[in-house]
Amino acid sequence: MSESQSFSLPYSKGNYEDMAEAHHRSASRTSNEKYDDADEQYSHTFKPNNSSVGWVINTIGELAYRHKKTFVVLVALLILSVFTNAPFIPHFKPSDPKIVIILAANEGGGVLKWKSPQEWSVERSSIANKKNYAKRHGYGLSIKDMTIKKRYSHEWRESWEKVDIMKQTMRQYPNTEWFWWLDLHTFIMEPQISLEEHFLNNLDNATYRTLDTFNPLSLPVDMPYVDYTEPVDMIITQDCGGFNLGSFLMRRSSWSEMLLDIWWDPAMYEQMHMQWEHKEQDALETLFNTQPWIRERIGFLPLRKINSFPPGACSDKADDPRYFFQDHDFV
Amino acid sequence: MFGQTGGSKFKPRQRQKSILPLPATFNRIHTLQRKNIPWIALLILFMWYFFNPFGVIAGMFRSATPNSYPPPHPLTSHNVIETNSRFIYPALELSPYLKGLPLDRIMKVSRVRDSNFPEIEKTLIKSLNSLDDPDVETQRAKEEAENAVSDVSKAINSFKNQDKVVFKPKNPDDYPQVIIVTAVDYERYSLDGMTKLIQNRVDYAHFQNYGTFVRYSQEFLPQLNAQSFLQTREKAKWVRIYCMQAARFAFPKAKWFWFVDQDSLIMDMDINIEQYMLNDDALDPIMMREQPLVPPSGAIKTYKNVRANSIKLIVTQSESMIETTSFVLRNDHVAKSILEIWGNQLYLNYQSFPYGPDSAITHILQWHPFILSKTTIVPAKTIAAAHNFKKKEDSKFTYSEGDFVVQWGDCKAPACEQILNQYDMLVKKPSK
Repeated sequence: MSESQSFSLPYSKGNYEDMAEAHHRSASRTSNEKYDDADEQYSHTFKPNNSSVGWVINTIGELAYRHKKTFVVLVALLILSVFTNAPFIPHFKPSDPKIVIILAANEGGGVLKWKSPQEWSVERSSIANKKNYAKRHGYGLSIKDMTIKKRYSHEWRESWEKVDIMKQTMRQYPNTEWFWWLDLHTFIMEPQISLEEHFLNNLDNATYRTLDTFNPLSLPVDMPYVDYTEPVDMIITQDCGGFNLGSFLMRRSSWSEMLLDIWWDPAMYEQMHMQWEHKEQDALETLFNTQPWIRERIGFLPLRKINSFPPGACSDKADDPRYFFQDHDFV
Repeated sequence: MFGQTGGSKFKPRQRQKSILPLPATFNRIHTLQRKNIPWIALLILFMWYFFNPFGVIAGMFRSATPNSYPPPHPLTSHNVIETNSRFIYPALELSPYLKGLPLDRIMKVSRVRDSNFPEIEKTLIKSLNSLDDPDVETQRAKEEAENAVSDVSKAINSFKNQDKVVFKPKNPDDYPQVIIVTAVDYERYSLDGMTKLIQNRVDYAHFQNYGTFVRYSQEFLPQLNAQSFLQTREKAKWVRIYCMQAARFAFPKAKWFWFVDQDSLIMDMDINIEQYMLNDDALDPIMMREQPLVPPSGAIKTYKNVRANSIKLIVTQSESMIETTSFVLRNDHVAKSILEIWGNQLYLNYQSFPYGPDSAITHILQWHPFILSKTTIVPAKTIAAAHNFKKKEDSKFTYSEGDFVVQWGDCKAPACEQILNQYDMLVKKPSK
């Protein structure tokens, strides 16, 4: 293994120790004095050092190559945290939620009476249930205080807070598409079902728009000038006595803005408030009864899909299976 | 070339041209080895999570077609009559037969008692279209038989079928952008006067390539539900809104609907209303911002920062109130909802609205900021200059030579026809 004349490669010059020395020597000749550590002079991929951006990427690549297992675990955690909703991992949601649940809490609180401990405990479990559900599916939750304030004079617009609160929440969440109003005395029984798969992804099939199949109020089914090709902007349910606004959804759109604006009108209220015992519900029924533009964009869901009743409500129709809670119902 | 590795031997085949040499590790490539199984499992999980094959297959079996709902239909009937003429107006030659007919001949009048309030008897007015045979052909044959017998039946049938007429062009690109809408009361003017009025609208639409929609006021009695409405001027104004609703249905793809009252004439047919007032750059300078709804000192004013392209409703004002003798509505769903809520029954029957729809729209604009943000007021002289009844000198509200439209709604019965004749001679048509 003497020195060969025909080959000038350092490796061919001697035995293995010489090879290592030759390696070091040629390395120290080509690199600048900044790098003391021998490892940093060479990248194992044998790529040249370009700009600082390439250097950063190279460094990360090298670290990944060296500590493969930790790197895989870190990437897995990052994917889980950003793209999924797995528990026990902090999630960074850069955008606003697509659906916001508005929970009307503290009903009955305020000036009228003290709330009993049972009522408080019901309220606590309801709120915890909604929080859990919202976190699980990445929805927003907005808990609104419905204390009776006696702000308005006698009957004049009292208990019409649904409209005001809906407007306020739409302002608070400017990028959210759907707003789901839930009364306090509801419980989500099947929290693993997300709203999208329950009906939102299949909106045209899941909702029915005309009242020919189920018409508890016997409203006229047919109305002129109604164009049913418009999208559904509001989803409500009907119970035995008419519309039920305990659990309904509203999409953000100019139609919804118009409805929220016109829902309470003093001239209509003055003439009708004696007949409107359920306030917004009855007003909406009257509007639905006479206005084609409202009929165009309201979709109805079967009651049990988002608002099954306990036994006791709608008591005169106790046998009707369409209203009452059965196993695996949603709310 | 081919080494004697491992098991198999490769003999060159006679017919092949040339084969690349196989790599040395060819026989050692077994994908499904024990050490590869976790990676393969991970790959399967990854593909399942992100591509969801079961979901895709289930989605294919779900019904693709949504529920089908009935198409929109006109006010009183379920059938439409399509026409490809963009001038829709009633058959005036039959109007002499309609004059003086009692209500129960032109409409189906029934008296009902509400079971909750049995002492109150209400009169329900429905169109004769509700008595139609559901089969179109049978109905048409029946009508033709009736028409052949008597002219009065012909007039009544034409009167009731006017509601079904819908515009459907031969060439879908050739849709009129602006529709001029008028509701004519056949008891108010003579045949000659009505002809002049309708001819004026049709001429303007012809010169400017727009459409016309004219109906009899009496056709909207089912919505008004009382013949007394047509007797007083203020109550008869409600017909404007119902006529506009019908016009929206007849011309679904137009851009603008311009209502002109029957007591008006378009004086200058050279003016193209889109360039004059409706385009964004034309509307912007003449929109009245911060103008009180009830001049001169109303508290609620129109908004300052509205943009012209968000305006859905354009109305005018007289000295003391909002006027709707001539107003413009855009064709989109917000404008539709404004029009429909304006015409709703609770406003129609509200006792505290002295001027009918004018009071109603003032009320709506005062109480509903969303609608106020979509409405604007333009000066009266643009589309609703008034005839100078009191012989005062010209003001901002009265007609002078060169104005676009003149209206004389405040006239008393015989004078209306004279004013019409007087202005009809002064109409300026474009030179052809």
